[in-house]
Amino acid sequence: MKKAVFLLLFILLAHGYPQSNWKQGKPVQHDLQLFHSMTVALLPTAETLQKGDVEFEVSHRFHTPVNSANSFFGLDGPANIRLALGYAVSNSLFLNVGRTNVFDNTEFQIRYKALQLKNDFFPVLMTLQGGVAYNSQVTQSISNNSKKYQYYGQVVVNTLIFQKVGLGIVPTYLQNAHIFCKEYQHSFTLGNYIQYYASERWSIFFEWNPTISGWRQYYNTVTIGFELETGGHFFKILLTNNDKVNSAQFHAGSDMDFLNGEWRIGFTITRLLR
Amino acid sequence: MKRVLSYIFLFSSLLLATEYHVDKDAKNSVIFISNAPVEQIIGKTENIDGYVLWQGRDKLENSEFYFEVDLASFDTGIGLRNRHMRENYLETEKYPYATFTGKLIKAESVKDTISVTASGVFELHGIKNPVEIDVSIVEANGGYFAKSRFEVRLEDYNIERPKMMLLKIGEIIRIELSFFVKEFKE
Repeated sequence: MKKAVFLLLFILLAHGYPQSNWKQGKPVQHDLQLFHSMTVALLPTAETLQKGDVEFEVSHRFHTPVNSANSFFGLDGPANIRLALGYAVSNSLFLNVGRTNVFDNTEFQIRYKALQLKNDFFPVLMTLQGGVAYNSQVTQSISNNSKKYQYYGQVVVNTLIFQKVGLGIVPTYLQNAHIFCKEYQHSFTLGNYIQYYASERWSIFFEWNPTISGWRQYYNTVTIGFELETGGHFFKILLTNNDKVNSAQFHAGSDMDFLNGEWRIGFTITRLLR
Repeated sequence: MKRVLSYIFLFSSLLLATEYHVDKDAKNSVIFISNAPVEQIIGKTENIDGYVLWQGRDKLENSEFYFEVDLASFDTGIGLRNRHMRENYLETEKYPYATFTGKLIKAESVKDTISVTASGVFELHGIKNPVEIDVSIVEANGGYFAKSRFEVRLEDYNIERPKMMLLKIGEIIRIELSFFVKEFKE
């Protein structure tokens, strides 16, 4: 009898105090995010925004180079201006409309996050972006109205190494790069950039957009600058040889030579409105 | 012999605790509220999970609970801000959950509401601190509905105070919980 009682006690003790049957689920997984903002200087990153986010942008590129006399480093103007508004239809799809005062170019852009490969050492994000732009106020005669339209398509590939160094490559095809040419000209550029995140707020970047084939204004575009983010705002201050701010005009190349010190000051401010 | 039998009865009674799990299909809510100089920041999630073992008000010493909140699921309304919160402040890759584990130490009934005090260890950002919070419980949907609010000091959990427009947010974060539990049946 005693043995039976102790055996029963042992069984009860082996179960211990009441144990829960609860099992932990898996933690929430988020989309891969590498760069902090949607663009470096003007080249796109592979990022999109959270569904429902609205982004407002204002950009200036001062036309006069910094080494010009009596222009206060070009800040006296004139300036090429861009205003843009973007909306995240979903976490993967972003629409943007922007307008610049250069030929009153209005562009409609669509961006789609196509691929994400999570990896501790070499994560990869790939986005497709395309746009159509219309130049409504041209300064020279133009052969036909269809020549006022420009189209471009881009593949954006990003990675982030050591959690601090963002790298990107952006092959871009631009149709009708020079709207005043009688014949349709195309440009193929291979934009690339590096952005170093020195802290959670500050980063510096270098952007190079060489024309590989097709039409180019005179020179390849080079841009250097820094970015400050304050949780909702991005402020970019930059030096560039290209004074264009809408993509269809930007990818056609620059009229100034950065090797000759012909730099322009520019800035871009974006704000999330939601 | 009688003593042996009473021990058997005591031990077996421990195995008769009722187990409740958070009802993940119900409308649960965990909200944090932080006062920033320019605006109030509110983060919301429905991702609370856990269990309670309960043998009634007279046997609180045998009670046990564990709750966790998936910190990466909080939404402050702006995706970029969520990302900053996850990556820079809460470091959710390293510390994915805020957890609270312990026992119920007091239970009083007022009309249809049971007021309990939950005492245990609250863990956030890898730091554990002893905490007592008051919870009010009512019967609902075949189980129970629990509500509570308490405050967390960021410094106590080694969390840097985020800045909004270069100004820091408040040191104290208010937490408001409301969730449903239902009896677990195998």
